[in-house]
Amino acid sequence: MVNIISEVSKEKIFDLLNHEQRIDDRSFTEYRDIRIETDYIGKAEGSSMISIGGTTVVAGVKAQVGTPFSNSPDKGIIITNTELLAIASRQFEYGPPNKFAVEISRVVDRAIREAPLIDLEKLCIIEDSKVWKLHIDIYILDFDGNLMDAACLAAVSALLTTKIPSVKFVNDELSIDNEHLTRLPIKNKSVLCTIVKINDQLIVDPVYVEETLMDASISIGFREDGTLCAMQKCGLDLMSVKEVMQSMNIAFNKSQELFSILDDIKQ
Amino acid sequence: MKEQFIRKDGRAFNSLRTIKMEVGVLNNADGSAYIECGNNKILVGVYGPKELYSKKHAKPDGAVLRCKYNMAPFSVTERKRPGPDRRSTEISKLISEAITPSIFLEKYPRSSIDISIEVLEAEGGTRCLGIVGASLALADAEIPMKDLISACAVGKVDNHIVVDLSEEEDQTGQADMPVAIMPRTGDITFLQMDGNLSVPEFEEALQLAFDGCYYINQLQQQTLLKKYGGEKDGKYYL
Repeated sequence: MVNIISEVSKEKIFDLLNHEQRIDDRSFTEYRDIRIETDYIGKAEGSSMISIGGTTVVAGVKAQVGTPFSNSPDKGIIITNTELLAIASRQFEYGPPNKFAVEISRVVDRAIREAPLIDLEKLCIIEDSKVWKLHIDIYILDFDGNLMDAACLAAVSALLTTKIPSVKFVNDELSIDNEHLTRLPIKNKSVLCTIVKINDQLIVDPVYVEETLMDASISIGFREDGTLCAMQKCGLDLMSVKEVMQSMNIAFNKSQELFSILDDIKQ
Repeated sequence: MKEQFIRKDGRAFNSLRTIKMEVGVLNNADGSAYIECGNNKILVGVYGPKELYSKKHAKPDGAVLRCKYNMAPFSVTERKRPGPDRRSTEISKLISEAITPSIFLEKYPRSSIDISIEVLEAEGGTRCLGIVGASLALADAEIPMKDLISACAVGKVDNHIVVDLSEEEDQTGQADMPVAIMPRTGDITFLQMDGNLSVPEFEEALQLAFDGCYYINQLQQQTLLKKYGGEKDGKYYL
């Protein structure tokens, strides 16, 4: 992805940042409006459409019965996938997920898996042969920066509202009862908060132009108890220890806000 | 207290596995490096700077750093299907981002520098060793750099913060955090974490990672000195 931005707008953004201002009049540690609409897709077991300012993401969860991996025979499976749809931005192209999409999938997956958001052992139906397999598909519909936080928020809120069918054994045969739905076994909620380093300033929730000009970013995953569950530094520039610790502070405060948004979801 | 904790493989919390490094191991590559750490075996080759044929990806103001991390099918217990997967795509991206700040890319417009990292045998910590090897191979290729990037992993095993996790510790441990730094300035060029850590534990782990990185940096310098340090008195002028 080659992003081109004019010298004039670049100068303007840097100039504003030096005066502690941003192009959309937010403070450095202020998120744009976050809207969450759960149960957006009727056919999915769980879904959520969220938008952070101009970034819109839909996450859908589909549940299937599958065979477990041989190294975890008593655990359910979660698979996270991200698609950067070509309609979302001029720079996105059709084709298999590129490295940016893969990175989002993997970081979000880690934030969910390591929290752990879901008690995977409870998703086991018969050890060694039948477990629930949850496909979390994250669709980026519209792009205006901060995909990582948006994707994670979408995936987590979709999982929080997911209802899977119950299973019964009739004459030793597995039958899926679509009438009786149960909620997923939720353990710890988690969120990702991304801090962007731009012109030696640390800001949250960058818009597209800010993201284009960023030097480096760090995405930090928090559990509700305030401990860390995932972290990833991206971008071509370096970060000092001080900057990392500052980012951690900001991200911790912001994660509390994100949790309060998640708490409002009707479960 | 911490000193008494002995890990499964007999190491203390702050000791690394035995590391062997060598540069200039390949005949055709412009630069190369081979690293062994425990049972990890990693071979890195660098080609470039060379003309970048894909004009679409060329940059008029500097070289493009292209990095490929690849695991051999026989490198892990269960055969890995050849070819790129999501894990290697992500690691390739992160390694090239970790290395980029150290290279004077602006000296080579419209060209590319290609790094191939081949993991021949994996036993935990391959992405860090990949970074260490890539930096050595770039130095071997005589590409102008600001510093040798050093990397090592830290993590939490049985409630203790330890350095250089083995495969078993990586799989059973509570947290894993690979870090790469630019030793001269102490800036972080690569940072990942999965598992659970509290903020004070994170600070402790980061400090331990820095100690590990500085140690590995010493080894990197010695490796280059052994191959290219001409002076008999062992003095080396940077």
